[in-house]
Amino acid sequence: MTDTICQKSLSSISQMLKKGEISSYELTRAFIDRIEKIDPKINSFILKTPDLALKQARAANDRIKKKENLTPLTGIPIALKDIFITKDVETTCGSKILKGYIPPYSGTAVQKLLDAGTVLLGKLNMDEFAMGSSNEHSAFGPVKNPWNSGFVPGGSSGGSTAAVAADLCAASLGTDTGGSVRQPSSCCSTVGLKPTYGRVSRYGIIAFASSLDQVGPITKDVTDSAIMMNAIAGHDSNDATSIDAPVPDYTKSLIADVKGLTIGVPKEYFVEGIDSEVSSAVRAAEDKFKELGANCIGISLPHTKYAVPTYYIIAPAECSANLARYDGIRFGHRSKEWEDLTDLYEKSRTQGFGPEVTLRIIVGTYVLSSGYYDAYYLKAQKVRTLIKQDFFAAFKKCDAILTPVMPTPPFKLGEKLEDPLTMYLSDIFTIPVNLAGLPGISVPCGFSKAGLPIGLQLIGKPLDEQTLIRIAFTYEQATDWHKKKPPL
Amino acid sequence: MARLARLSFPEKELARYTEKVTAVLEYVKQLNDLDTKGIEPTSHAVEVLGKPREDVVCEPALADGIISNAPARDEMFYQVPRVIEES
Repeated sequence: MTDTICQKSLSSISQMLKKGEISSYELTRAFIDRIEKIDPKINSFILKTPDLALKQARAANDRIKKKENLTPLTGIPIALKDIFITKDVETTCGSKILKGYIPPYSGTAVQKLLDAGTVLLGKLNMDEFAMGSSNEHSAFGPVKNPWNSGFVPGGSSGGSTAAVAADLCAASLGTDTGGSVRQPSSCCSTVGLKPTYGRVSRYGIIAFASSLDQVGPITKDVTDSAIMMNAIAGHDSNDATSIDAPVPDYTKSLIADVKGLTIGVPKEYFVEGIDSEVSSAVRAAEDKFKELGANCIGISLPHTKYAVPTYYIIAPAECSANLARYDGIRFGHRSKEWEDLTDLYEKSRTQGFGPEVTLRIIVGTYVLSSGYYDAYYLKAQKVRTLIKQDFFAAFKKCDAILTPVMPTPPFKLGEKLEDPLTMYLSDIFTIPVNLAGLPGISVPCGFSKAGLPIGLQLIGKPLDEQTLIRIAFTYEQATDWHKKKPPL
Repeated sequence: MARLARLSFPEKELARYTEKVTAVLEYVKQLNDLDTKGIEPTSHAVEVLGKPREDVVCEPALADGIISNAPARDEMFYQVPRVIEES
């Protein structure tokens, strides 16, 4: 019984809680037991917080009993990517350099979820500082794909997608800078939504690349994604880049109907190098959309192939600036031995950062350094404009864009670890969306012959998460992919 | 570059990073194939910035929580190596 309850969607357990069929305490216990049993196989948690969770569950029980400020999230056990700072709960961002860091406050998205009455089961594994596409760049060991432990869960929110897929929490939050919510969702068969840049406050997420970072829900289905969005979206005076626009009720977009909608399919996303099982799964989804009444048209996004090189200038540049704050003075790791202040900085940083973070800091420092700024950073910002213009031209002809999430199914652990460029290319279809600041959603659309998940991506106009939710929901209602469970 | 970024490595590791950094910098050079004359740079995905808020102290109680994360402290002060020589 306990395992079956954990397998249910957030919306169904929310109904059960409301009707009194189960208490939040029992539900939380069930998840804690399941984490103990299953997580050693996949390593998705960096920190488990069972005592805090049971305390929050008791408070939720009271709230439900008294019918006080009930929300669809009251009493729901969730877990968070360890990039979200959580008051009094250790937050490491997957890095040795932040081991032992206890934030004095919670960020906006987290506070909103806590105010809604969620229960925090723990903090989830991730690539260090969200830099990676496989979750192998974590100071706390790699996460394993719940569908096959020899394969990666994707990254950087791989702990979040693995935990949701393995039913170790009802839902999770991730962050997406170049695909880190959508790409691991594709690898683990979860629904991952990256909202429009600025739709959700970035206050209280540890910064990686500030012009690209965005918070997004990772859930078992599209309905749950809409419920989470209702809780976290909105303007925040603590984040000057958050958008001051009204927040719709996203659950009103859970409409199983795509008739009259035009979906663009860009030819540049089905080129040589894409795995044939992936392209046929996404082409089959295109046929499904036609069958459901959507108008599917071919479009072109001509600058697609320049997105990855553009990103690998802009993201390292911003990361090198953001990570300058880890100097061993105010928080984080400080080297035990040093000769003077500069030596203390150098030793603390070199000891604290892992190899991928170090690599990106050096690349970022280079492209921003005097004499190279125009040739690299400014050039990349101009190409970013061209990539953005491609999308705006396409949206004159269509309401949303359909693409694969990644060019291949999940790859083997260790396969791309020593070759950063091959690893970077696994984000080739998600990166353009971040550069343009658009919303994108990853939805399960099949499995490879080896039994590994494949996802489709829908890209929308700025602030039009509603159309994405509607199209994704329609597809989900017509297919069973999201109902399949990994063999754990 | 490592020095500018306040990082330091032994020779062997330095060579390994140099190889990887060079590969990345070579790879991104393909942007030079594009003519970007007259194109405005994009620094932020969304151009409309939110309203600035009033500059007032709103969370004064955080100081203890912040300083308690310091690797070395003296009451409410951070401890750092001496940076000014004694005369």
